[in-house]
Amino acid sequence: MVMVIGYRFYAQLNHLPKAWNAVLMFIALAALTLVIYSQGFGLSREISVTILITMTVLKLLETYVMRDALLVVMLCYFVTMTRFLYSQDLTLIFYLLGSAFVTTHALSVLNHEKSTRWVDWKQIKQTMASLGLAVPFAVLFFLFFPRLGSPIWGSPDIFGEGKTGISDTMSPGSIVELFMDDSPAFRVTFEDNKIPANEQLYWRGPVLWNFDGRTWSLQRHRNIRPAINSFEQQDVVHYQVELEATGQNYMFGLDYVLSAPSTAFLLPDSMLYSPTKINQLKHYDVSSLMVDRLYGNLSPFEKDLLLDFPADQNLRTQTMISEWLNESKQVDDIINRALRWFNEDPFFYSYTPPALEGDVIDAFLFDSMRGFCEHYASSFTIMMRMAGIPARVVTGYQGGIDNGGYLLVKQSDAHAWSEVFIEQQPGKGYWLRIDPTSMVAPERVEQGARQIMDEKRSFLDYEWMINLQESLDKYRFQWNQWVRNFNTSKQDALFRSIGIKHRDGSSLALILAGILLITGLLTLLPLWWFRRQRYHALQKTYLKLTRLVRRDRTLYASREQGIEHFAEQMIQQYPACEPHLRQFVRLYLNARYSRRVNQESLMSHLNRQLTRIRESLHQSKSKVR
Amino acid sequence: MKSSMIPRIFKQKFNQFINRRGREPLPITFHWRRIYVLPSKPGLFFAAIWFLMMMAGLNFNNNMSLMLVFLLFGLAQVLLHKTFFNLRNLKLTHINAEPVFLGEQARLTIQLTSDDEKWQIHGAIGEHSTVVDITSGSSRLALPVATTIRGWQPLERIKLFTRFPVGLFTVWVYCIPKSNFLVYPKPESPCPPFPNHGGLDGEQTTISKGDELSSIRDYRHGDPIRDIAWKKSAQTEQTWVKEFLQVQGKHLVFDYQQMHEGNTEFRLSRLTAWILAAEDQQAHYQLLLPGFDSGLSRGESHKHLCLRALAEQPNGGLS
Repeated sequence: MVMVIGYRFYAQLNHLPKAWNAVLMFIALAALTLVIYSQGFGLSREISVTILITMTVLKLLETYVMRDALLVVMLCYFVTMTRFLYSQDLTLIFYLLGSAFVTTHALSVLNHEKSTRWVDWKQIKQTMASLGLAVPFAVLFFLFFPRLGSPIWGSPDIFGEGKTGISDTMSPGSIVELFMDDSPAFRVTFEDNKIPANEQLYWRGPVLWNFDGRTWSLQRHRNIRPAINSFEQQDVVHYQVELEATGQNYMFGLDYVLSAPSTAFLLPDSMLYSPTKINQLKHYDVSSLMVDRLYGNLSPFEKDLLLDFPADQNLRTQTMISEWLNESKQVDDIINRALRWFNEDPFFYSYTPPALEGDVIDAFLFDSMRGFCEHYASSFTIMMRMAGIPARVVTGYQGGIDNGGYLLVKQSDAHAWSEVFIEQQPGKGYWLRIDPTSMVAPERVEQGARQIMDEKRSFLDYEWMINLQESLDKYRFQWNQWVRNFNTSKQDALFRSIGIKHRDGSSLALILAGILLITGLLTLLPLWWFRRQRYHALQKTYLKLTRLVRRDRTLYASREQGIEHFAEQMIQQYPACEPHLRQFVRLYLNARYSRRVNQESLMSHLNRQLTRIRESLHQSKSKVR
Repeated sequence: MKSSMIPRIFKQKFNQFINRRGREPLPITFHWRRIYVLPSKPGLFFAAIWFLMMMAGLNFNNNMSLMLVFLLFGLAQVLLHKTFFNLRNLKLTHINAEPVFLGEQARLTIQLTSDDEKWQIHGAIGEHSTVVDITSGSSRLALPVATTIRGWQPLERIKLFTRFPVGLFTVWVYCIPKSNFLVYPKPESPCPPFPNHGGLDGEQTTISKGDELSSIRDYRHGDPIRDIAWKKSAQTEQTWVKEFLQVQGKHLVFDYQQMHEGNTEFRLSRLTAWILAAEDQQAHYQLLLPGFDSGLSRGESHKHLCLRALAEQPNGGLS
């Protein structure tokens, strides 16, 4: 691109002629082939956008006449729009306004022939004013223009915009990238703004069942978990989640979600699963039971899966567990002993643990002894399995920041914990949430991830930066509510609030026409006011004089030829007013062209003459009748 | 036949409508009622792109795209008004044109005035258009006009248009000002020899050329045989002609009624050529036309007086 623009500049400066068509054709084809080669063939967002941009830039090569230049500039509007297919963040409003300005100004410069300067401040100001006047129109139309409930073609999801947060696998060190990322994962609005305590906020994401010695992964399910039926009303919280796009299927909910929202399934391991990839901001309402255990059944097949671990690895841990089992076979004892071990032995919470090789559990538990939630959850789960207790790893987020009216959960709040199944009868029992990290670093769970970070994560990692980001997120939240996620249902609510019950075509058309009229007037009025013809008092008296005869078309038309000519014509038509008219003309010319006159007294004279002329005119007219 | 009739009639009616104001006396103020507005070609392209963007935005409910789309729509609306107001209340106050000879292009100077600033006002007659900014009350617009008839040629329809500021809309007015400009007859070329009967010294003294040999030039068709420089021509391959210059102070009389060959236009054309040649040679000359006598003189104003008299001659019927 730089090359093309550079070449174009060079060509312009040196007045190079346009290259041969064959060469241009070859370049275009080569570019197209490269794009397809690098992106693969198929109708996807990436390929369409890349081709559009490539071709727009290449068009510069053959832009030598006005028509092509206009074409390129107008295509730029479209190119601007493609950015929004990727993200609709609040900050992009500046991009929107900026590029709209630049493109419009380019058009304006193109259309301005004979301009001599490169930068004309007056012109820039004019473009700014035009855009400024267009803004109220844009806002009103945005609110009232009818939206489509469902897409006509394709699905908005093919234009995904997110980045992955938590992934559906976990291997040592995979979560650590997320700790560096302060971007929002989701925002939660609690009903009645009752935000539970931080240590209760376990946002459940992917539940990992399978461990191959290094990496944890999901278990595929074919059925769904039934809704929880028996619960204490006081434990229930209702909330709405605004999930940023992830490009994945799983959604987040507090432990334990009562039942799935309408747009998702609840898998047997209580994980919320969306049938489509979440490529756009997603809102859903859920209710959760704020407890740390969930009663349920466990089939023998599932139990086998949950007890599986690589038998030939981590032998030191296996030995230790079998020692523990020799002392007590009670489930509670084993769990407590493991937790106590984490708590009392010199385990450290660290974001920068040494890399683990070979038997990762052994290496962590006996050698490095430092790590973060992922290491603890992983080791603990395997220890439980070794002890014959069904266990699994749950990943998700923990905590969040009360950001004024809503809870902000950032990527850096990512967390992993364990869940063990306490079997009360064969195949029946309850899942118990155990967070081994809290044994090592209780403040992580009580106050949030940021409290336990000692060193800076990056050179920009200052407290005020984080605060700035959080306050920016407040606006972002509002932005999402009002702009990014404005849809038919919100529009309906808006219509209802101004008293329109039904969204039928005619009333919508009426509103739109009304807006057009209002904004049209809004833009017209200032233009009209600043650009109206201005007359001074003297000219106004002349205009008053001419208006006396405005019924007489030919006479009235001659007013442009000057007062003397007009007066002659008028005297011919209405001889009765001759003396007054002559006097008027004399006074008028005096006032207009002589300097040493008292303007005010002249003006009053003139006005007096004017009324006399009017009277005589009326008289002569009535005589004619 | 019929199929071509209908468009022709339509075109005729259309022109009648456009020209309904007839020839207007200056100054002409272009009020809002006589302003036409239509999207320009780039404007249509803009509309197409805009529509595509809107469909994409609506389809995917991409609200920021829709914001951009509506911003552009609002912008178009503002630009429409701006373009309109850029032409409104423009005044055409004067039209000036230096006289030219038939066949040459006349240069109209159109003076436009306005109370406020107007930008990028294009003026066009036929295909030609020029552009001007009015930033301090008034500006001049020069327009070339083809000449078709001798005499006072009425102005064709003038189109004043503007696409300022961004070119999405064309806003224009038509007017046919009630003014005309002078077209002199086309001078005959090459210039024929001066009449040998018109000298002040009477018909008998037939000194049609100067006495002094001034130069030798190529033979041109129509040169009299006696002027050929035989000696020189014999030496070379070419035919050479001796040229004699009119001496200073030669008095010439060009009398329309003593010319016998050709129709009116031909004679006027020849007289024009003579006047130009005489002026060129700084000779004194006198033009006699039916009902016109220029007197004997020379100089720029005398020349224009004579040429104007020639241009104003009625068609035919004289002799």
